[in-house]
Amino acid sequence: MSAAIVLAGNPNSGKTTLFNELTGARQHVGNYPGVTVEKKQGTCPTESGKLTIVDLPGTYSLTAYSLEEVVARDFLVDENPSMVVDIVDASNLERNLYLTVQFMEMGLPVTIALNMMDVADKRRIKIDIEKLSKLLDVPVVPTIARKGKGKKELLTTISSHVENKIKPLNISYGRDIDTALDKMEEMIELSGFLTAKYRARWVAIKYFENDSQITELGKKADQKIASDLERVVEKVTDHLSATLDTHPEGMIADHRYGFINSILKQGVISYAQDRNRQQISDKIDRVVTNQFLGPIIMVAIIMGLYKFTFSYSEIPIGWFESFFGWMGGVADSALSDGLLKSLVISGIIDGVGGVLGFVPLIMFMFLGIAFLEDSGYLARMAFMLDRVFRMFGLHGSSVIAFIVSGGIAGGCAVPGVMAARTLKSPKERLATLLTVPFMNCGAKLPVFALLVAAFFSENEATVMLLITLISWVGALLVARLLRSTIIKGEATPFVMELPPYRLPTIKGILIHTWERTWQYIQKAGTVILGVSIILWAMMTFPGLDQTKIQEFENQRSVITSGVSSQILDELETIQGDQLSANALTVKESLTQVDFDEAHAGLKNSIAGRIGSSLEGITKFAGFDWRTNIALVGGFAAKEVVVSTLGTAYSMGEVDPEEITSLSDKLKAADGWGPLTAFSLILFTIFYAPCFVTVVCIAKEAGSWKWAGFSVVFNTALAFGVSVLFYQIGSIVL
Amino acid sequence: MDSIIVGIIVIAAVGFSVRNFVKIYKGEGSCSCREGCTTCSSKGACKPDFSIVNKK
Repeated sequence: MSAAIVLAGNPNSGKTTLFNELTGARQHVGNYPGVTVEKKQGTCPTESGKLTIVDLPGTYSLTAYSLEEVVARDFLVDENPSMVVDIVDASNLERNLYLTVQFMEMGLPVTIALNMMDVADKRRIKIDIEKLSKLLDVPVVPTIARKGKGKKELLTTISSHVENKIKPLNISYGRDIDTALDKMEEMIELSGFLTAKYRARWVAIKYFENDSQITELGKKADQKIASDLERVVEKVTDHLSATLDTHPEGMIADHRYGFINSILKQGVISYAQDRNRQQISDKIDRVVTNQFLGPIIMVAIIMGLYKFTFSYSEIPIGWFESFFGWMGGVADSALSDGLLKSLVISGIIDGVGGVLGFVPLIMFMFLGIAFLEDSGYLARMAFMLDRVFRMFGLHGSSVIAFIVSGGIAGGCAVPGVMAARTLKSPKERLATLLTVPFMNCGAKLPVFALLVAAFFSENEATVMLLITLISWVGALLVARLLRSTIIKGEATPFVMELPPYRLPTIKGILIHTWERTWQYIQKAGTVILGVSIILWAMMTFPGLDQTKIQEFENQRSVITSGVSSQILDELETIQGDQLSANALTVKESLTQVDFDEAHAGLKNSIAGRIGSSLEGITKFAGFDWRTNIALVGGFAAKEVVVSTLGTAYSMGEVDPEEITSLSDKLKAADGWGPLTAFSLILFTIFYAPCFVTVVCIAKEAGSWKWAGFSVVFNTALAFGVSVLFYQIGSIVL
Repeated sequence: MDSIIVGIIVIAAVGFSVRNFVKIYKGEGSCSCREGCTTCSSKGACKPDFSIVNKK
């Protein structure tokens, strides 16, 4: 036997966990509905043959309300799977069965995996599984996917029911709708209207539910029948509105719930305690999401996270810096002077090494965030910020997009942009798309970490918290501005149900942390490496012309010509700290010439010229030409800002053996100080999103116009904020 | 010899980066958020990492 089995169910019902359990995959568990719209596929060997298992996005219903519902429904219709395994959360049976009923109405063979039985047990909810199975006329298997319980029984049940033919479920929706449904069903069947893919009655129901996908398909298939069906629906809608003050969509939902309740009330479910009794999560939420205490706790938690990250990562970061320093030393002694040595030391070790040096910090940050995610606290943050967001013209779902993009730090704007698609209002979606890049994604983190460590080492966590608050306030103000000007529109409501608090498992946290850290390392070893090499080449070529080189040679000759041969010998044979005073003076003069030559070469390079040409404007924000090169490179990926600064300051370095960290180099460099550093931090928060995010914005907004707007507007805003800060700071400090 | 090796490395880096950007443009490239994620929803979009139930 070889059959295609579909795993479907409500979001957070344990679907992905079960998919992983059955297929041995390691898909990330715990997602936000509406973003994981892709289907995942795996195989599972059973005694009776191989099962192909497809994990569909989590949905609450099968309307065309959201993209994940459309993806799930299209797959069920187009692929006609042998069996739908509906993962039902046993602790939320009534709500979860709503989707089950819709599968049955579609005429799909269903097996219910009654999951999270342990949670139901804890809440003292008793479910009569046999009775539920009998009344619904579908197999029901109790499971605890998290612990792998019920897997074997589920596979056995699937195998024994996979070929069964089933009778579609027809629920009564009240006399008015039922009569109309019969009439519409007849019209659809007689004309063969969409019946090649869908059941006639199901199509009729979808017309009552005003399902945009089906009505559009209907118009394309047969305009006349579509109009006739719409007329029938309109007539019933008017009647229901006049007599019962309701609409068909609401009636249908009510009757589905009525059908579910009629089953549950036949002794299927019983509660050993008051259903309204507060669970532990509710008790915690009374404090954690309290109107006054909640925000204070939230800020304290974020501050705690930053303190934890900076404190624990400090020592391993030192190890990484020493390691890359050692590698630089090895490369310096192993390679002869020339282009290859420069590429390896300045381009790769000081460039990419600068990014990789922050791996411990990224790891500790991800560890903390993974704990907050898995515990359920991030959901509370979203809940508390929802009200604030609405004040600024954004939607409750925008909070999720913001947090995913790096609201605390360490996220990514790409899934944040994707998350915006859960917003139904195009204007709220656009406002979200354009403001999520202001969040502090994982790529900006090394830039902040570098500057904070170099210039604000006494108050690392506080400055990091300040950076977070600035990015949030900035994003909200921009959202307000956009919603009051170019993307005006009404706000739409948002209702949110919070998941219960869970004690995160060590394994889960470690897997999440490792996955993200590994992605950071991979990105540094691929994308950042490639861009760093290109930027090194741009900072190396065309180099100085012969006349200039000769000028520097002449300067060296002038210095050495008046020096005795004894001192010259000393310079060649004795180490720096053992030189005589005269030899040391000569060495310093020669070193200055070397520095001037390297500096002139860098400034004359392609990148140097680009950086210098921008310096006329960027000097108002405190940026020199080297910072400009880094910021231009940062458009490829924000980590490149660090790697480029690493390369730029390495190439200006005279003595490669004198290895110091990039933070130390910046601290010692001319033009750098806390003011310049914070101006650069502000610019990094707000300036153009990276290339991948821009592409993503264009795709999600459906226009390159908005992607272009994001690049231009954000950069102009970043520049304005940085100039304002730098100029005021220069006067005040 | 140095120049040849450096030339090869730089050309390889340019080729890799251009290929990467083209893939991203087509919605096939990874944003490096997750293993195998892309910027295109139909080809395996990125997914965020925490659970919230959004009740309609």
